[in-house]
Amino acid sequence: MIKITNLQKNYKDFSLSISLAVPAGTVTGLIGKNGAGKSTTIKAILGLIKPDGGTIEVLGADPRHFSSKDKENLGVALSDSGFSMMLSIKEIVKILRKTYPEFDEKFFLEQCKEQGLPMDKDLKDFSTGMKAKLRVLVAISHNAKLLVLDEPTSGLDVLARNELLDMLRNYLDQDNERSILISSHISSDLEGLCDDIYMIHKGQILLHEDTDTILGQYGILKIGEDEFAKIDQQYLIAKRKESFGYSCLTNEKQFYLDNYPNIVVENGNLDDMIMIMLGGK
Amino acid sequence: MNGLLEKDILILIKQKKLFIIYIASAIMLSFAMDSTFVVSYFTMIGSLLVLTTISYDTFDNGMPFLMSLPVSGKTYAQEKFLFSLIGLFVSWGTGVVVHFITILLQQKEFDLLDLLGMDIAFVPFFLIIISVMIPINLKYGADKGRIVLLVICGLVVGTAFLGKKIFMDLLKDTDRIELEYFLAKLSSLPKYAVLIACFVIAFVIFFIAMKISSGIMSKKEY
Repeated sequence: MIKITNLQKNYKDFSLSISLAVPAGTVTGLIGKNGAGKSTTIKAILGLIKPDGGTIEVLGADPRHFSSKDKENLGVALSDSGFSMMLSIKEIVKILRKTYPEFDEKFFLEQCKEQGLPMDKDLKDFSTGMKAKLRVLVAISHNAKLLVLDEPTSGLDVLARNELLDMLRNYLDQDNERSILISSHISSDLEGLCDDIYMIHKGQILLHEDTDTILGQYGILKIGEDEFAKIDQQYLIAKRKESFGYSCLTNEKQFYLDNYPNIVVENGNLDDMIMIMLGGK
Repeated sequence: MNGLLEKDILILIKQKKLFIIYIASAIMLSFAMDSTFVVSYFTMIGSLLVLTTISYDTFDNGMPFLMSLPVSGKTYAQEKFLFSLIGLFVSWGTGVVVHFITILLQQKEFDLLDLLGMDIAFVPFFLIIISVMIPINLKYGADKGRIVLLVICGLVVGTAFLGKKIFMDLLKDTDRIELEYFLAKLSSLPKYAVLIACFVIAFVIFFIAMKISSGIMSKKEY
């Protein structure tokens, strides 16, 4: 669905240099701090910026030369951009009807009703949660093969985030070939939805791993300085200085559980991984 | 393109209060001023509405999303030109109708062909105006666009003024007589021929501007 090879994009104070792939039928997450390069990557995938180097293939085409047909197969939700705030859902339906040949009006209207989105109110009077739900609904209502979602859950409370993620799960259930690339800085959203995750930092991919592997094999060791000096460090990916000693990230949790039964080994989760990998010394 | 056109029309309908003010003030002014004023006023408002839609598209960072819809930069630019053309002709037509009603109400004598001829002359003029305005707005945005437009206007007027002065100074007396003869011949041409020539020139400029705008939008990053 998406294949990025050595994508390069240089700005005055930021450079992006990544490779990434989203196979058919998978949900891939892009996680990183604000300003890490997630939105730049998504803009390049959508053909909104011109890469300085490398190649991007989305649904078999170069995004800078997308045809209308190519774009019809894409469902897009951007965190900071959408339909004019002057429009209402009723009016947006008229636009979508003329924009996407496969726009499923019935589904869209049903979902709007289910999510409690008012039909006649202008978008400027919508809450943050309503706007976010509408953006995702627009993306999933025209039988797109690939969804590209930039921070779709940003600014939402836990309940609204779960409702939005459920909408995405329902979209995936319709067809095994459908794929999603979703960026977020909220790790729990990605853990529950994605098949694999790319961690991006300062324009580089720091880690790419299956979510199951992260949750199953990765762990956090919490050890004092003396113990740290004694243990086998070959399976430690990163470490962070703490008041008690070190927090260490490993991708071989079982090795330390088997060989060092006295060490505290916590299960891996994205938040801890980010803390250690991005904030570690 | 149909979706974009629908969007622009819907956004304009939302501003219906503004339209009512425009129309009311135009009708009032048409009684107070020269009766052709109403046609030029309506045509100007109608043809420049497209610039309002460009501003609305860029509000709240709307362009990245619009460009992720199944449209290309080229289609976006073409839609703006088509929309401006629709706006121009609808507003011109409204202006002509108001113009005729005003004259009938004022019970003035008039020659229908003469009057229509005067009204039609506004069309190529405003076609050229929008052909200059759209690419500038697409390239520089609404705020910077105004400054660029002022600079261009200054350059055009300045060049024309200086060019004429230098040209006339260089001309010999015999050449000057020939030029005057040529200009006199030009002004004796039938009005319809001049009008057709104006339309041809305006549409050529319009299509060149559309091509330039397509290029601007295709190269733009969001």
